[in-house]
Amino acid sequence: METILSIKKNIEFKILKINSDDSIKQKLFNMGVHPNDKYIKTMGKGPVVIKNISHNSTQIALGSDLASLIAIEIV
Amino acid sequence: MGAERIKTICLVGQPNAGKSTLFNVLSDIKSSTSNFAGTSVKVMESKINIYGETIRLIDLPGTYSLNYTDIAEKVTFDYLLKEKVDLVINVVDASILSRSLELTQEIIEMGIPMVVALNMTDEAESIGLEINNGKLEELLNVKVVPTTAIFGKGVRNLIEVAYYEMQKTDLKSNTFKFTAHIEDVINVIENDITAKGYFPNINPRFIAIKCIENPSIIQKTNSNLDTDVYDDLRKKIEAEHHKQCFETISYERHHISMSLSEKIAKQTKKERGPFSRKLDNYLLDPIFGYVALILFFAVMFFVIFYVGSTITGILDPLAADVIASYQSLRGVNMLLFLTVDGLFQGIVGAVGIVMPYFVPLILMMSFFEETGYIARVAFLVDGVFNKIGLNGKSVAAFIMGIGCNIPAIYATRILESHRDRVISAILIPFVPCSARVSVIFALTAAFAGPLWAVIVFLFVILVIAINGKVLARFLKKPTSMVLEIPELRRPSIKVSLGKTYFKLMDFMREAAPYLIIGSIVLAYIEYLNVAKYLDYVFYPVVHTLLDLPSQLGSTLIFGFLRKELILVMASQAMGVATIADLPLTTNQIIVFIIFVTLYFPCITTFFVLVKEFGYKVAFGSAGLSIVVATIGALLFRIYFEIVGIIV
Repeated sequence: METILSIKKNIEFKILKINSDDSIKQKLFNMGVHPNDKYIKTMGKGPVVIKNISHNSTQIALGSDLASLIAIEIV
Repeated sequence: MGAERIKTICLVGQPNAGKSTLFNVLSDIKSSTSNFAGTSVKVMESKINIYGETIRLIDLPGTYSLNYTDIAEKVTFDYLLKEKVDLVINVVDASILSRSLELTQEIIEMGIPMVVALNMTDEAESIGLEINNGKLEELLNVKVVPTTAIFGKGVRNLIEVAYYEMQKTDLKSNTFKFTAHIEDVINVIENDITAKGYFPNINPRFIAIKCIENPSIIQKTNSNLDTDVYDDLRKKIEAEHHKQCFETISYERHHISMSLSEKIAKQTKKERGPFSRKLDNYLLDPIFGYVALILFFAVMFFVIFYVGSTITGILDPLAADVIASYQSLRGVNMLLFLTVDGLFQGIVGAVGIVMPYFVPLILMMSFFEETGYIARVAFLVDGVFNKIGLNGKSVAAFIMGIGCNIPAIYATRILESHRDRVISAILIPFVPCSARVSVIFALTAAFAGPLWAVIVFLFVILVIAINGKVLARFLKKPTSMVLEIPELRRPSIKVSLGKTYFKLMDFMREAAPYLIIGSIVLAYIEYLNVAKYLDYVFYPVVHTLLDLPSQLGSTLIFGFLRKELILVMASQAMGVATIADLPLTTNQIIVFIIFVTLYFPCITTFFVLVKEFGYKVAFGSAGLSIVVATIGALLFRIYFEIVGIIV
C-alpha cells in the first residue's frame, strides 16, 4: 500500500487511513488533516510537506516515521 | 457593597491567526509574536478601557482545537473551562477559513458569548478568497468583524462590537448538529450532566460532546465526573461508524466547516501569488535549503559581530577617557571613588559592551521570527534532530533560546511529548542567549577575531548534539514531527523595530540595574578583600584545571545572576579599564569563553526550569552544565597546551 512517504513530490492523493497512535491522529485532525480530503505532497523524501487541496490551508510538515504510517490513494 | 466584577474578554484562536498581534494593538503590553505556531504559550493579561469601563483582556495560547494535544493548548482549555469569561473574541485566519471554523464550532458549543475577528483579510484577498461576512454572521448567529490586526485595521470596530455584544444577555449562537443518532447520545449525556450540576458556567452540550470524543480531558478537569458511565453510549457510536468516537466527531465537525466555508467563501482567482511558493521550493529543498540556512546564519553572525565590534571600538576610548577623569577621587574619598567607579563600569558594561551586540541580535531575530522561516528550519533539521533524540519541532525553542533561554523553556510547551520537553529543556541552557552571545562576541572581538567566535558556536552545537544523543539513550524514541508551515510573510519593519525596542526596554529595566549594582557591589567586595574568599571556592576549577587567573572566580558568581555581568566583572576584578586590557592570553580567553558559555543557566532560567519541570530536572540541568563547561574548557586548555600559544 502507498503511503505519504513512498510517493513522489507533486503527486496528488487522498488519505485513506492514519495508522499512528491516537494522540498523533487527534493532532492531525486538529490541524485539518483528515481522511478523504485531497492533498498534494509538496516536499520531501525524509520529512515531508503536504498541503490540503480540498480547501485553502497551510502546509503541514510530517516526520518520515509518521508519513510512512499514513495510507493513501493516488488521485 | 463589594466592588463590581471586572469583565473578561478572551482572545481565542488557532496558532498564527494573529491573536498576539491583536492583543498588542489593543493593549499596552507587548506579548511575543511570530510567524510560527505556538509562540504564545502563556496567558497574557492586560486591562483596557472601553467607554470608561475597565475590561480584562486575555490573550490565550493558540490552540488548533479544544481537544488539546500539548501543554500550551491545555492552558487555553483549562482557562475557558475554569474561569469566568464574559466574551470570546475568536480570532480566525480568513485565508484558511475552513480549518479555522472547526475551532469556532467548538467555542460555540461552549456557549460563551462570542464575536469573530475575521483576521488577515488582506491575505485572504491576495489569494483570491472572497468572504461574505454577512452570510457568515447569519450562519453562526454571531457578529463577524473583518480585521487586519498587523496594520490595526478593523480593530477599533472589533472592540466596540465586542463591548456592545457583551452587554447583551440574550446572545445565542447557532448550534451545529451532528448526525441524528449522535445527537441522541449527546442529549442523554447533556441531561445527565445538567442534573448532576457539573461545570455550571459551561454549556452542558459542550461537556457532553467532549465526554463522547475525548472523555479523558473532562475527567482531568473535574475528577468528580465519572465519564466511564457513558462507555456504553460511546461504544454504540463506535459500532455504528466503525471507528473511534473522536474520529467520528472530528470528521463531522470537519464536514460542517467545509460546508459552511463553501457557503460563504468564493475562490475568485487561482491560488497564492507565486513568489512565496517558489521561494518555499528552495527554502525547503534538502540541498538549497541547507545552503540558505547556512548563509542566513553566516550573514546574521557577521552583521552582529562587525556592528557590535565597530560600536565597541568607538566607545572604548571614550570610556577610557571618562575613567581617567575621576581617578583623582581615589586619593580624596575612597568610598566615593568605589561608588563612582562601580557605577560607571556598570554603565559602560551595559551601553558599551552588551548593547552593541544585543540590539543587532534581537533586531535580526525579530525579522527572522516574523517571516515564518523558523518552521522551514524545523523541517530541514528534523532528520538531524532525530539523530540527537528530538524532532524538528524542538528547533523553534532552541532558536528562541538565542534571544533568551526563558521563553525558550516555556516554548517547549508546544511539544506533544513530555520526553521531548524534558530533553529540550535540559539542552536549551546550552544555547547561548543574547547575554552570552554578547560575551562571546565582545571577548573574541577584543582578543581572537571572528573565526574563534565561529569555533565557539560550532563547539556549542557539538555539545548540544552529544548531550542530546546521551540523554536520548536513556529515554525512548522521539515522537514524529507534526508541524504547520505557515505562509512566508514579508516582515513588518514597524513590528520588528517595535519588538526590538520593547526587548531593549526590558533589558534596560531588568539587566542594566543588575550590571550597575553588581558592578558597585564588586568594587566594594574587591576593596574589602572579600572577593579573594570567593576566588578560593572556584580556585580548583578556575586556576588548577583551566589555568585562568584566580581573580576570575568571583566574577562567575555574578554570572549566575546575569551572564552579561561577566564582562563588567572580569575587567573590574582584574583591575583594568576595558576588557581589551585584560591580562589574559588568547588561549586563556577562549577557555574562559567556553566555560562561561556553558556553565549554569542564569538564575532566572533555573527557576523557570524548576517551575516547568521541578527541582530534579532543574538541578540535573544545572549540574550537567557545570560538568560539561568544565570538561569543554579543559579540552580547549589541553588542546592549546598541545599546539602551543595561538597568539
